[in-house]
Amino acid sequence: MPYNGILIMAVILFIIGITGVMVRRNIFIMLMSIELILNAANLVFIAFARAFADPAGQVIALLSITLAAAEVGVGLGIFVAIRRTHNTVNVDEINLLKH
Amino acid sequence: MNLFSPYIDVLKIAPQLTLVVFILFFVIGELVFRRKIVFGWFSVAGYIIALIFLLIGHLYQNRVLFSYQIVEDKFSFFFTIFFLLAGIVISFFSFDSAEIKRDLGGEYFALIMAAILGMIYMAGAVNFLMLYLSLEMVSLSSYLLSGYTRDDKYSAEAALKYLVFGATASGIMIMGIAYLYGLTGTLNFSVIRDQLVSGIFPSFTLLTILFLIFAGFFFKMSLVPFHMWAPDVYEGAPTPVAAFLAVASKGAGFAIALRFLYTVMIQGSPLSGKLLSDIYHFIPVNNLDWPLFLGIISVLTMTVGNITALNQTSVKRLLAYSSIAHAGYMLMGFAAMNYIGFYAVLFYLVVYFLMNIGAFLFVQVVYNKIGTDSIVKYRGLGRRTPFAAVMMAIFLFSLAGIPPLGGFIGKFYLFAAVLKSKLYWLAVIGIANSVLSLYYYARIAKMMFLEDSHEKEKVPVSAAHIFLFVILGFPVVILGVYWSPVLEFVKIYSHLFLP
Repeated sequence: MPYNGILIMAVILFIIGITGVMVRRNIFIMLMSIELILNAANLVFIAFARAFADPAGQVIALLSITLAAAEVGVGLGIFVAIRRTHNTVNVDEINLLKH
Repeated sequence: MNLFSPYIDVLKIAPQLTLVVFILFFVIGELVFRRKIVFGWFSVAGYIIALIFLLIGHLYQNRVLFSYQIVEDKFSFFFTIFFLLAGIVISFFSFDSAEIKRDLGGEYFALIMAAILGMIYMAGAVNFLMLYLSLEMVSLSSYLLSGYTRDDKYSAEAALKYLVFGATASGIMIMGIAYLYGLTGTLNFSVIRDQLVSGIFPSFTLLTILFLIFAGFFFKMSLVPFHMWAPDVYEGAPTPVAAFLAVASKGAGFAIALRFLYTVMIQGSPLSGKLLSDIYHFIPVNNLDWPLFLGIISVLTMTVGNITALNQTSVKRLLAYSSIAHAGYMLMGFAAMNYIGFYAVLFYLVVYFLMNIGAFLFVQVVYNKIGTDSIVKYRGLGRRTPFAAVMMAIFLFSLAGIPPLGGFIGKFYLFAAVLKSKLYWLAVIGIANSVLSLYYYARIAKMMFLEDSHEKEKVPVSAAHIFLFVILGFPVVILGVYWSPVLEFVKIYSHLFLP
């Protein structure tokens, strides 16, 4: 199947994204890693949409991109609040809520 | 299929459209209305108008809208009412909340309403596209709501944690959906089901995909191992938002999980119009023992929730762990995989709605006066605010499942379902957990009534909150002795429709 490469690429992106969220401590890098996860899924959708010649996969990929943009908007808004209240972007230092 | 049917369908979603109109109104309404509290009343009016439209539209049952995107059936009707009532209660809850009073405005009620709109779509989604979009709609509104008091350190941190956990969980879920799309070539639940039944897929791949999709559901339901966000978010978020997330957001998670498991994954005929009491089976995937799998998740969730709740010092955090435990109890109804289990979950959600919002409401009342939710400050509150404290005691004992209250009846049906499926180990662990939970619920009650503090000043309860205590508290008591109307209601409305 000619799409194997794309699927492997998507899995690699997904794993990089998950690892990034779990390992990296900078909230901006974490948000970028989350974007990687979403884009890995978009890649899979588009690959299969082309394989099946089915528009549904492309539709969900487009909407998913829109949602990712909205998520970044919300995320950056929250980061501004974090930067102002905690004066840091390192999640290890944002630990008031732990008992 | 008529080419124009999507346009005609627009008129059939009048309740949802009502909410959209009100959300748009809240965005510009601040130009016209100076007094911000007026938006609270507008939002209550919006939910009531939506409820009226819903009851009118209820005459037409079981229809599919927007080219197999959402379905209107008894199940989605039940949850739509559930979410709209949650919206009304949370609006009243927010009226006199000291935490958000300063920022209370149109946008707060717009965000709550947007989340509820997303939940209503979630309860009716029969297509993964709609499922993902509505789930994200709920999530994005919830992130903003939990960070609503943006100058507060705790609130900002809660929003950050919710965002990171939530976006990761939904990313994992969309990855699962993408591969399921690759496997089946469609996003439509009924087509996916037909293909799964034929059993032509590599079973290990399918199992992995299902686990990826469950990550998103488990996150919304706050089940182990996707529960870590809940205590932090509930503690940091403003109290009305915490109550909203604990009840409505969790309810939406249960709605979508029930619909997915009982329409897509079920073997044989899906739950259609007729009453069934036999045991269901899910489609075998890689020899996964479904009752065992769901039972283990249930046991882990309730045990982790209860044990961690034992030595909490913040009442909000304690209620967060208790709500995790309650998600575990409700999952017992899934593990039982019979008809009793199905409607027991819905019945428990109704009771949980009443008692959990009530408990958070008392936290709010105390917070308004003394500015903390630390458990040691609850000493002697029985004298300082007798009415609210008695109501709180009712909610706490109902959460613990003490017999003459609604919580006991809810648990009774869950255990009945589990015993009917002969999962005795699950029932035993569930009962042990209920006993364990009594310790920390009773500790709060003991602090309030049996211990004294030097503070003697009265804790005032506002009119809106007294109203809420009455409409939440009395049903909890009444459901403990006369529950058959609600039980009949959830029995009638626990029917899924799969086109």
